[in-house]
Amino acid sequence: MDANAARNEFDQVNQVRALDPNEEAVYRYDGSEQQGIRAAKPWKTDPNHFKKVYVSSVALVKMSMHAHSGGDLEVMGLMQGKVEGESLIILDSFALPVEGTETRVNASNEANEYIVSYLEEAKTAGRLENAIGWYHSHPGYGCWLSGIDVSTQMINQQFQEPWVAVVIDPKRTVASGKVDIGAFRTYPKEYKPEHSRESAYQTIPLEKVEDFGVHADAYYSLDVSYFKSSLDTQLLDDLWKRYWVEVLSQSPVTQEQEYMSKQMRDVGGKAERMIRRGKDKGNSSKMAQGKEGNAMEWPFKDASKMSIELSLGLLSQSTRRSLL
Amino acid sequence: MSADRSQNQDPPVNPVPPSGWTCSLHALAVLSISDHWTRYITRPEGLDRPLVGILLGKTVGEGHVEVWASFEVGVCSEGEVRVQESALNARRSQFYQVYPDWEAVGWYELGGGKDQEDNQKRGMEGMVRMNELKKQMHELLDDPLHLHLPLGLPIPDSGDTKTTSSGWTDLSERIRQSMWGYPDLRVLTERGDVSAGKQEASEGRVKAQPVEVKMVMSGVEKIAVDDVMMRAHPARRVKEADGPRGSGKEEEETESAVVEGLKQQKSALEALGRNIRLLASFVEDIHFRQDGGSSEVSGKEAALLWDIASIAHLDPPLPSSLSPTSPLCVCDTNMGALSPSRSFPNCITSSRKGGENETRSWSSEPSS
Repeated sequence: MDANAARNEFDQVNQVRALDPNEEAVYRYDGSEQQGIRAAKPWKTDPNHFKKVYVSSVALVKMSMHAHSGGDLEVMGLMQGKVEGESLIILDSFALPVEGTETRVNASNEANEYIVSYLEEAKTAGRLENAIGWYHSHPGYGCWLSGIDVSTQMINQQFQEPWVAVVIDPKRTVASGKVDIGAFRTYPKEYKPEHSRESAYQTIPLEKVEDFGVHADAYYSLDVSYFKSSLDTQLLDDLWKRYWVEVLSQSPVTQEQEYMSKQMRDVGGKAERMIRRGKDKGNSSKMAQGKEGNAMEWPFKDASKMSIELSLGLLSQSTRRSLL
Repeated sequence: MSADRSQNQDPPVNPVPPSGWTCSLHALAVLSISDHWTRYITRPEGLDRPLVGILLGKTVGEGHVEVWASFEVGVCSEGEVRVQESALNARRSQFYQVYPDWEAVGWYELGGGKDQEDNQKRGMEGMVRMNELKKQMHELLDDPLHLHLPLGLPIPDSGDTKTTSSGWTDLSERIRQSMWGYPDLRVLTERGDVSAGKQEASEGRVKAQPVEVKMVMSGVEKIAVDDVMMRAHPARRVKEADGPRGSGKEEEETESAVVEGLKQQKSALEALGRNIRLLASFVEDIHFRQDGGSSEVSGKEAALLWDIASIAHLDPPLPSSLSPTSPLCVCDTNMGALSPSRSFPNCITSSRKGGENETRSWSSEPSS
């Protein structure tokens, strides 16, 4: 076998591909094109204009790790990117030096100075894209926008368009073994969506239910996808082949015990409320038609979700024990 | 047949013995560097200067460096190659504000593969310029680690342009080499042997020595990388992904294994959710009925109960305390309740199959 044939075979077996800059065009930033889009403002005529968000691999990993580093406190950062049609492309992200609490986080004046300075420095290093949105974490209570988040996003949509809000739940990320992420845009104040949002059910802690319900129709969620470069693919493939076993070493059963306990307490609280309301005959019909809708199902759904997460954790522990 | 790795591996590049230093390189740092490279190749105007970045992390104990992240820095190439010092310091302090535990532990340079090959391509002038850069890095960073990634960047001054086909072949080759062993990433330290102390290094008496590299991922990092591996579109398909999916052969192939499994899991979870919803409705109905003083079972309840039992494959479906003797309600699983007659939960259901009525009964005892 000659060298070329051997090489071709190797390329085929190992799926080696030469990089082609045209294939990575999504990473290219055309300032004048973006300026044109900002001037045309297609989102002004259609409040639902943006439908998708594409997050780059590096931005996703950065945001996930930053969210996790905050522990029980909310953290916050900005995302840089561009617009392509009805999609927002998140090319990169950076963390902000903002101290949040367990329930809220907001940028201060100091953070605003940081943002301006960071973006300027990024441009000198060759990252030309502008800030296109913000992200923050909701440790343990899911991806949605609270009343404060809605206000923040609305203001930014007035003055910073195009702008998107991304929420990451680091606790649920660890518990489910998958990045828990959501992307949202608010509607203009005067706008009433034709149909109430019908999104997939998600567990909302009892103390947050009201905040969630009141603002649920003030915004909509965008479909979130990820993308990676050819080089990312090759590097990660190799990394994964070598270190996949380590994945089994993590388990929500051992790593997020406090979160799991909180979840159980929350299910208990919801079940208790369900029983209380059930006994209150006068409220029975209201409950069925009220804002909380089919609240009877919540504890069951949450318990089911929790049992799946626990089962997955136990399964990974069991697999690891069998293999190693 | 796969190619013989031992034949394709090159002889050791650096005969200098290991430094005693070890390095944990996190996936985020690798992805950041990869991002730096990808952005470089997509620039229409190209760049005639080296790609340089700073490695952020921690020095843990004696002789171990953990590299968590990185950021790129601009390089001026007018006359001599120099990092834009003010920009570097500004960005470094910005990272410290968010991650106060991190420090700039080193720097990386995206360059060609072998030293020998590099030297030939660069020529003496190029080498001198790179040495100036290294010297500057020593001044700016305290005992830097030097990560040299063999990504096959066409070397400045070599006459190559990044768009030539030979450049890309070269790149593919270099990536392949790096795939064969991460120690080939040639992380070097100029800190000197751990036992030799820093004095020698600062005096420039110690040559760069290879560092043992281990790729690592934290818990959340693994999850995010896993998501990227399984769910991320290749960059070239971002626009196409807006349209109907599955149009490309490659995408279909990628989807076939992983996504199919995920779809099945999703479907199973949806089924589980439906069952729980059924159970919830049933409990709700019973609860309100009992509060109202009625012990009768409605047709709706009976139908729900049947659905739950049939989904759960209960056979025998009822606890022994429940008598199987008398059919207490008859319901049609296709059409809803027909005739609820007595108390929960003994039930005979009739369902139509092929136009004929088929009667099925539950029993907690073995049928005779």
